[in-house]
Amino acid sequence: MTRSTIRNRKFKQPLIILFWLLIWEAVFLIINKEIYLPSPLSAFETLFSLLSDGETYIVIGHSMLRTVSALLLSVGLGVSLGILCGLYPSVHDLLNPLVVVLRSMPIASIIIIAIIWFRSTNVPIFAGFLMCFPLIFTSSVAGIRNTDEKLLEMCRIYRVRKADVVRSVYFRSAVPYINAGIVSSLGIAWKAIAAAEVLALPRYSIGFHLYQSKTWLDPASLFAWTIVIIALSYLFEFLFVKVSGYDKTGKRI
Amino acid sequence: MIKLENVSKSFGDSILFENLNAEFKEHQATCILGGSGVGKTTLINLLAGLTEPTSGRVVLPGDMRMSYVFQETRLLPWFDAYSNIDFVLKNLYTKEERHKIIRRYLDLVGLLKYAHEPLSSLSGGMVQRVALCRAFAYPSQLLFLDEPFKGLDTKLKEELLEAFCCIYEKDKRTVFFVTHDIEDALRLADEIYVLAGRPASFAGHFTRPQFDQTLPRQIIELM
Repeated sequence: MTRSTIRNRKFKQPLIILFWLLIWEAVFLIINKEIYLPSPLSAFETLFSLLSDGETYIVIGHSMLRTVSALLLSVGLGVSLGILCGLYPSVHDLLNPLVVVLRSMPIASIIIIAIIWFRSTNVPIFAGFLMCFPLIFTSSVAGIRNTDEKLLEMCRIYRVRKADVVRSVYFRSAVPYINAGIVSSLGIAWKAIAAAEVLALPRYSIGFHLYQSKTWLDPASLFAWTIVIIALSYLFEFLFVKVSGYDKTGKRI
Repeated sequence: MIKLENVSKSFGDSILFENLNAEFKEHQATCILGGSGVGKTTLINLLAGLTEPTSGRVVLPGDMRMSYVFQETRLLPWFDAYSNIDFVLKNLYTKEERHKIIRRYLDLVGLLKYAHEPLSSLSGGMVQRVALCRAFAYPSQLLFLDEPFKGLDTKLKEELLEAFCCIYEKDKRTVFFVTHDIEDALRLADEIYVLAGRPASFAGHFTRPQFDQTLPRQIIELM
């Protein structure tokens, strides 16, 4: 990307955001009922008042901790099982039906099962894990299977130990795929965690506040908390892309 | 002796070799010379065990360690030159031994100061030299080179030829190399086998004392 294109994009982005805020305001003016759709102004006012309250950060901290736990679990199990299944097709055949079921399972069913099995504070972690694990697992398997056969042939000629081949060839080849899987699951993790928190209602959680905004018919608060979730999701993605050096498509940046 | 005994190889309906027989001497450089598509790479892949003959057998004197310089370098792009060589030596030597070997061979091909540069920052010729270095640093009894100079410009090719001669003189081992270039064959080989026809067979066989000015013409006629 040239420097002028980057400058152009930086200039355009605030304008695009402004355009959509104006659309929001226009729709609000047409409907003209705060209870259906709050104005951007009242949503952002509520957001700023939330951000000036210390407890908000405790709530955000708890939800973040759950999201990070779900992601760590998904990455740990998804990558290790993905590598195993990528290397051994028979293990993949055994595990794949479970992953297919998980991938097509409605999030509501997962959350309800989790509510039966776990304490409310752990339900979102379990739901987040079950939503993210298939993505990371599938991308890890694809990464291992797309390892360059010519490099593997080279390893056979030089009689490289299997452990070294797995670590330095298979895993390294799969890194862009794994990273792409993780980036896609970051957004999904936040959505799943928020949904599970709304149903499980742990005391300190963003979902609990979303639920309360429904109870008190307070759409401004609902929108404010939603903006918090979107911002956190972007923050996670931004940090991960910065640290890993790979974008959503698995390309090196 | 390394032997091909009635080796046949076919891919589907296409017969590449039929009852090919040959005996290759050890500790010398043997060149398989032939036009493109004649089956040179398949032949050294058969010798290296990378592909199985359809019938017949390849006889090697025992379980030989092999190294191979492929047409494409087949280096791990995420490693530097040093780590690429270290990777194939890992289960053979201690860290200190590996360090000495890698430095010695990188020095021989003039790449010691680029040992820890990312491969992407090296030129095509330098990367080819790393691949050559890896093949020689590995303690193989059999070394295969598949058109290692193909597609390189004259200067890079000269660099690589010199690197090869320099290492080969110091460290004589059994080398098989494949080329379509008669000049390269005459320069590097102790023995030349000309592969031609369909199914391919050895149309000619020359050893170094026979190399003279008329040889290129004879070889062209055979190919």
